[in-house]
Amino acid sequence: MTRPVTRATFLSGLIGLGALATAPDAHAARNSDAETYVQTNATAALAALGNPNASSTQRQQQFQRLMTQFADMQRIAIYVVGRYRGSLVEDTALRREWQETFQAFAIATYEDQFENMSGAAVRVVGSEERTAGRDVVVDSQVRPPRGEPMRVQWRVLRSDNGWKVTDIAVGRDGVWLGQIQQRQFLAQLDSNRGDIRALMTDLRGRTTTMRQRIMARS
Amino acid sequence: MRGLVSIMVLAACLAAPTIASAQEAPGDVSAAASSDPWEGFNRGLFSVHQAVDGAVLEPVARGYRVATPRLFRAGVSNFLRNLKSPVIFANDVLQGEVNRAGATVGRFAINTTLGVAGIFDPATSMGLERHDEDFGQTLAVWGVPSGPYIFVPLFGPTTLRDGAGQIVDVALDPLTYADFDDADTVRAARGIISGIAQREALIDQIDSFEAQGGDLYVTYRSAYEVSREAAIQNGRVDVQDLPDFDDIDEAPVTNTPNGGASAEAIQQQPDQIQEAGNSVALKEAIALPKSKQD
Repeated sequence: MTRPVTRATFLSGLIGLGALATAPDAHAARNSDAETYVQTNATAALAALGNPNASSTQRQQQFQRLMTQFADMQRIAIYVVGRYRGSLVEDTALRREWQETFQAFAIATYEDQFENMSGAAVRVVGSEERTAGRDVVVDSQVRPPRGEPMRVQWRVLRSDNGWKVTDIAVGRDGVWLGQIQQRQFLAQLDSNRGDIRALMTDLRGRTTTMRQRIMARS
Repeated sequence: MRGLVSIMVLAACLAAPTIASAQEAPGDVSAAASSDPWEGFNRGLFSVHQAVDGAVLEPVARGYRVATPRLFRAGVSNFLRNLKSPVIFANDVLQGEVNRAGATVGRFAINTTLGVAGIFDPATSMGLERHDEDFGQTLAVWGVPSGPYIFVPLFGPTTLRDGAGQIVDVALDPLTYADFDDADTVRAARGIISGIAQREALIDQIDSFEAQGGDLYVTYRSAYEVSREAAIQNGRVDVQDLPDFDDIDEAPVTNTPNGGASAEAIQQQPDQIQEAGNSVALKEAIALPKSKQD
């Protein structure tokens, strides 16, 4: 005689199916050195954003110093202009000016936008090597003081100066912020016939606006 | 605004460089990027959307945020997300994602029962992380290119493929076929509440976009394209598909907090940090890009 499937049995089956889905995937090669680098420096940078013992000026300077040490601003500055990098390769002075302008814009953006992340707890949960010992994606969970924890991935490259972050991906699906930035700049450069000086003028204006907002807040 | 934060996604057509000096570069993700042949038309629709959003959607969303506690809003979002489970499950299956399909079924069973009709989300704390799927993503997995970018007022950014996918998702939704008293009212109410809840969830993100300045239309499009690509890949990007970075060797630039803006514009601080060394040596290691293609 066939026994009817009770609601509880059916539910147990569904939950069991779900439990199977939690089985971990195989892990690729990890890099503990890169993981330690991110764990230490990401925590410090986020702490600097909300250091209550520092004046706004000191906080800004501390954050800038940490960011220029933690992130490879020069490399990122070249990356975000994508196919328009040619003029920067040819013109050293222009490249230098662009890197300064982009760095100021990027740091102001971080300060302005990530204020609510100050004091967030970073917990590195793994990593995967793209190039052994040189190019690694470090996976972490970042828990802000308010709000839900979120997944943050850090692309770190190792050069003579040690590890540096070159891009960050946020969210469960991993949205790379550097790629979004590159698309924005490329759209702007496409529309102005590749005029990097015009882009710099725009970024300086936006940086000034953000700095004024940050100072007004503090 | 679906998918804007889920945001944050890449199209099929390779946009040709518009100036002669433009060159392919390592890590130029734009190689697979913006397919926006209807940009002029889309910008018009975007303006309409911004007007409606500013007049209606945003105020309603902010009112919803002010009038309700976070826990209540989380419950509403959980409930609405749970209702989408059949659609997510169908797309998990169509993509051959067995584990994720199992997770969706398990989450639905747990959250519908222990989670009181989906208002709470005990499944996440039991290790069943939530995820989204839709038929646009399924089509992408099947190799269908994104097609042109489209901005739809009230609904936000999408593409021809993803917009068509949303229509199929409606057909996959059991609630579409539900037949009971006031079924139409329930369906309409779900749509309205979903819209308000999704706009509320995007308040901070959109505020952030607006605060950065620049061309907001491009910001939305860029964020949508990159985030959509990430969603299609379910967060499982092959690290080998990530873009290359130029191999450069140069010291950090001197700190310039305002990027060279006028000193009057902001109050410059006297003791700026000086990084040593300004020598620049860009090693021209222009390798072929490893950019991912849609």
